[in-house]
Amino acid sequence: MNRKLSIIELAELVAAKAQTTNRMSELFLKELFATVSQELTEGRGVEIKGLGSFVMPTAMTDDDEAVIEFAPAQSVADAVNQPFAQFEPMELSDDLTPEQLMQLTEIEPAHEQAPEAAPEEMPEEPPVKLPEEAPVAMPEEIPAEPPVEAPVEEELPEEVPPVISEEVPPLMPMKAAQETEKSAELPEPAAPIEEPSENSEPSEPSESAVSQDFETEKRKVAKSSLLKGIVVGALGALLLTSLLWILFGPNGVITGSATNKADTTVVAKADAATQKAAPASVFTTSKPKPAEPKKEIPVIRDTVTAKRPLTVIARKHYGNEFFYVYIYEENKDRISDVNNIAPGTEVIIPLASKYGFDPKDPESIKQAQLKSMQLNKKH
Amino acid sequence: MDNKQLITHLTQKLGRNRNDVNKLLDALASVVAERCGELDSIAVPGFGTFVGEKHNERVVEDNVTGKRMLIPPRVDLRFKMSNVLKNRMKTEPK
Repeated sequence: MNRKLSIIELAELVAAKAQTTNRMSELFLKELFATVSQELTEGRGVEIKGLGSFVMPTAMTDDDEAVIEFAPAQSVADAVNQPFAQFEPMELSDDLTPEQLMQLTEIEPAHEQAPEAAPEEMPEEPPVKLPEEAPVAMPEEIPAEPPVEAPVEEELPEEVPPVISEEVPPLMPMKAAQETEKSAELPEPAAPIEEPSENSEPSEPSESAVSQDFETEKRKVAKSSLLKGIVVGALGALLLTSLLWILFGPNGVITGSATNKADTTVVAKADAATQKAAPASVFTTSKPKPAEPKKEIPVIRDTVTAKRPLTVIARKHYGNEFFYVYIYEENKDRISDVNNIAPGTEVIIPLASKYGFDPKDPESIKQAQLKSMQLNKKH
Repeated sequence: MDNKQLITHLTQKLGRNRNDVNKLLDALASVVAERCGELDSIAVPGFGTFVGEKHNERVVEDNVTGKRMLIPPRVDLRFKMSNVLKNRMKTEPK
């Protein structure tokens, strides 16, 4: 830092990089700069690829001094500015008053003295201010994110089952009627199948999953053999009975038509029980398992790349780039320098509630802005 | 003088082939970028100094729109001519 390198040191560094002798690199540098200055004194600019170009000024300064201009090559300029490459100029919200900026500059020396203390303090401040609003805001903010599918899926079953329970009954009796002709002999196995379906009742997502499978398989029925139709019918019957159980069963209130349909489906299931009882029951019971973990708060992960620094990730997940400070907070153990993160680093995106900020709240944005500024000041 | 001419000139002066000269130039560029990125300066006697200059972040207000922009911190590579070169350019005719 702020060291002045002599030409000898430069020559040594260059020699090490180019894998040649110090003498050779010294000679080269001497010759290079002699040539460049010669060219410049003769009034010609020089372009060195990969380093930059020395350009003659168009006008002299007042005291007849020519000042040559050096324009670094893009690659060098980028390499020099690499620590700050991820930042873009950003507009400050009008809410950020000059007083707050002044406060920030006053805080700054304290942070320079104890830079370690700052990050630990940060997460503790916001939760006091808005602990209850934040959890609600998060699922709303990012419903389209692939990792956050759980809230979406949880909403689905509430809408879907009523629709299906209306659609299925007209379809079912027809199929069930076909099946009853063949399988009137085996009514007993129906009960064992109903029980697994009852077990799956508490987890509603399984219903929608089964119903989707049922929908797709329903299309196959038209084309394929009656056997498949029976299987699908059994599946549908299973679904219908479990739905009826959900809607009416526990209360003991079963309408007349419902019982009729239930009876036919029970018979239909009896047929399926002989052929596909095991797969069908496995189908329904295995579904709830993957559905249940999704109900818990998902761990959202993202990967930092050269083109997707924390700010971009923050904008994607929270809608505002300033919230990258919280992602940094969350992943401090694997990010040594917030301005210089190795591409490919996987970071955990914390829920807004964890740090008690609300992506939609201007107050939170302001806080994040201040934190971001403090973070930058340290570097 | 463009890059090609410079390399040709240096190959003649040094008696090395173009590959070697290219390698040395690349090495120089990466060393300058590396050192100046760490805010060191490289002084070349009789020629000038390469300096990495850090500009702190600042807030700029647009006079017309009144919008305030936060300009992020930045490191620039600057070159400062030495006095020797300045004087040479002053005295020697163009």
